[in-house]
Amino acid sequence: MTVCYHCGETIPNGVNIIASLNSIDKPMCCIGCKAVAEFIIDNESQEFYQYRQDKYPHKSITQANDNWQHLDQKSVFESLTESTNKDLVLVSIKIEDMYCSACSWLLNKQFNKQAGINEVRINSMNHLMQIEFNPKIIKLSKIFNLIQQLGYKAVPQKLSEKNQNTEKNNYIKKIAVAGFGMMFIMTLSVPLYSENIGYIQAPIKRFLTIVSLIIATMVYFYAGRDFLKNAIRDLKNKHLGMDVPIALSISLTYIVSVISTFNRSSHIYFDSMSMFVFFLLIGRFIESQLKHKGMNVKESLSALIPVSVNRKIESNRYEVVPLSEVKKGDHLKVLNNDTIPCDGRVISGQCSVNESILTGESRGIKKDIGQIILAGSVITNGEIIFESITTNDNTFLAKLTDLMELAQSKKPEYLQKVDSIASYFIATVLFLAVLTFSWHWMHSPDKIMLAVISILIATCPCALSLATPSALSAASINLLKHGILTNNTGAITQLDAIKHWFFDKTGTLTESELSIDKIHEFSPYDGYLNIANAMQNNSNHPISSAFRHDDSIFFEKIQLINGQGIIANKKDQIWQMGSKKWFTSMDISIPEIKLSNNNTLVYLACNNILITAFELSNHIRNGSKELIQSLHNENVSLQILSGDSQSAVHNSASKLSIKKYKAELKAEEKIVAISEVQNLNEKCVMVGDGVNDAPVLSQADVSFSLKQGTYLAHSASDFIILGSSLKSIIHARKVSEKTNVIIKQNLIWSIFYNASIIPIAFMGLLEPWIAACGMSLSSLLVVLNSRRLL
Amino acid sequence: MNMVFVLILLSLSLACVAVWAVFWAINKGQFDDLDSPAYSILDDENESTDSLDNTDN
Repeated sequence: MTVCYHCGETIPNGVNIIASLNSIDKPMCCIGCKAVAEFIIDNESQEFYQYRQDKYPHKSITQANDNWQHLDQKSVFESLTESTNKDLVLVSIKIEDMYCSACSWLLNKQFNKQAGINEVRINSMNHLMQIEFNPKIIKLSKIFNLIQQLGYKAVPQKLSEKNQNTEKNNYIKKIAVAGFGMMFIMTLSVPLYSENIGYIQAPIKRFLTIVSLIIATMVYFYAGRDFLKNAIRDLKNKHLGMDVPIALSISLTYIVSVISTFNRSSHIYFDSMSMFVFFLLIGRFIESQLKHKGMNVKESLSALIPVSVNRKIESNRYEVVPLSEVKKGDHLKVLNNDTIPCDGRVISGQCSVNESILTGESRGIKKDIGQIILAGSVITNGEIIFESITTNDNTFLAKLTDLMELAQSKKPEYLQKVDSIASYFIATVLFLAVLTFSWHWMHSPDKIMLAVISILIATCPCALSLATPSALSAASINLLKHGILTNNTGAITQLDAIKHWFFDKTGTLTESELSIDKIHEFSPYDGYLNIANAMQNNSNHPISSAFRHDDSIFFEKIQLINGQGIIANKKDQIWQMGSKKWFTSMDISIPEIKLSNNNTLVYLACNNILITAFELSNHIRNGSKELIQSLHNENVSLQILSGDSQSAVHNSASKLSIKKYKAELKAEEKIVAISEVQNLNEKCVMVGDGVNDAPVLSQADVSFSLKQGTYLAHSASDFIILGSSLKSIIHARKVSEKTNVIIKQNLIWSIFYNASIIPIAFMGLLEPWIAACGMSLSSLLVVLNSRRLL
Repeated sequence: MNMVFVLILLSLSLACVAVWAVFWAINKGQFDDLDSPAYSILDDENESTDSLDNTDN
């Protein structure tokens, strides 16, 4: 088994593409990979192959044919860029298929060489690339073309969407303020605490307290303002969130300390407060970093539709405008191979559209004048002018993504459960604080503040709130190392307990590419295989994946007949290749072929004489058998949900020894099948790849999609399998099991710690600074325990 | 003893400078990507010849 030098994908049978890289021949899986590899080597960036972190494949790369000229239009250009300097503008580009640092190194290197580029910033965490360039020297369209030449998919980012870093940066700023403040106040506290060691003059003591007050004020109002704001919001909504006791304790500590400073009494806890704020912020920061990794559905929508359209201004004159400016009733022109930007009605021309993104049906559908076309579908043949019938936000595609978001939001979130536990916990803490207050008020009024503040700090649900997120973050890093990208970390905890697994067939359990199983020859003709290969070159029908690339044969004319076949002219020969139905309609007699495995048949004829029939079959995906076997051993119920024909599904099911299967299902019927199980209060896992699987992937409690699948499916699923083997799912289950154990340990520890510290704090024996230290150490223990998952 | 006041105020201003430096670094995007800059060390080519070679791009 050879693998592609560039992408690491197994080279399909029959493909024989060699790229000569620095005069060493390397095997390649497709023309796209070859082009990219040669481009990389020609630009002297061969270190890319040396330094990349893994060999997880890029999607098989399509040749760069996208034209980005429209980006240079003034109005589109202005909506995507931001001027930073006199001549320079800044553009943000989302790079898809970038999963490691070597990718960003490669992009960085290529762009730093270009004239006119001032600065390149690439963030491999959120796949965002920011380029500052001089539009007079290098065009925006050239930048996009370069990215595409390197084999990545570039998606323009609107200005409003790009600043995801702001929140992260604000956190770091607050942590810095709280950290420096904490250290400074602690230094000043040392002489105040150690009064019995040496005598300090009263004015110095006073001075130290006032400096502490100034710094603590900054920490309280700058670093702590989120806690205060959230607590006020929670109280307004009559909800007991984590932030209520936190805000209460820091406010109480701060106010008591301020009053004490002016009263010259000894209840000064500025050090405890800033330490508390500092550690809380660190915990929050870790938590927020986790949440941001997920992809968002809205973002994937914008990746599917073009950013600009050709709008008619007067007869035969068109202008390029950004999609957001399109109004209902505008006349728009769409060319062959372009994506339809918004829903509309055809007013002139006719075309075939591929609506696979919406329906999963990859056959072309003919559209004539008066018919409705939907945004996101791609014109495969012809060009049209249409009238838009909705605005950009109301298209069918937008509604589909809304549905997916809805399905996702309905999912029981594990984190939400923790939040509701915390809510009881917090009520208990507040009750304890009131109890402490009233008890001390009656018995020892001088200890009131000490005891109340200690109780609030010691029982801070910090470790509790870190218990789950820290474990999930460690688990998702572990999964990434094993080729699974986690989109929704909450799913990790659910995975191992689920007893119902559903699989899509085509592209998931089996490879999406077909291969030739058998060839039936009817009339002798030398080199028919080359002819067939060359004919299929021109087709993008799934069947063409079975034939290897060959451009040695030249046809004068090639005609694709949608859903039927291909006609090619070569000198006086007319070659036909297609389905049985089409051949029968052309009166070409076809003998009965006994099929062994429910394979698909494609016929080849020359001048109406049948030459051969190719028997094509789907291969079982690498790792499918191991996965099914391991699930069988766990007594999990398995079922195939497929849109494929009854016999094809039966065939694969028996190969994999899966007893239950449902065939010929539409996307909605797949959802029904899953919700039947869910209605019995059982959870289920779905593994799928296609766009038509996207809704069912969002419906399932936990879902996997394959890297080869579509972006819409990725955003709908919880895990994305980066390699080509399903084996990694077995590993994911193990990690899930271990994660649950770790989370349980974390929760038990944090509850145990809080429960044991309460009596001490209640009696007023705990100084607030010790309480804050104990709180931090208990959180630290939780984080370290989670690291065992790495 | 007055030295204590001076020193504390001095250290306070130093702390302010440190906070300002962190803010400056954050605003400059130094914390945006902690992963890929590690690879920039591999880019050891001579910058000047590089830009000459590629003016035709």
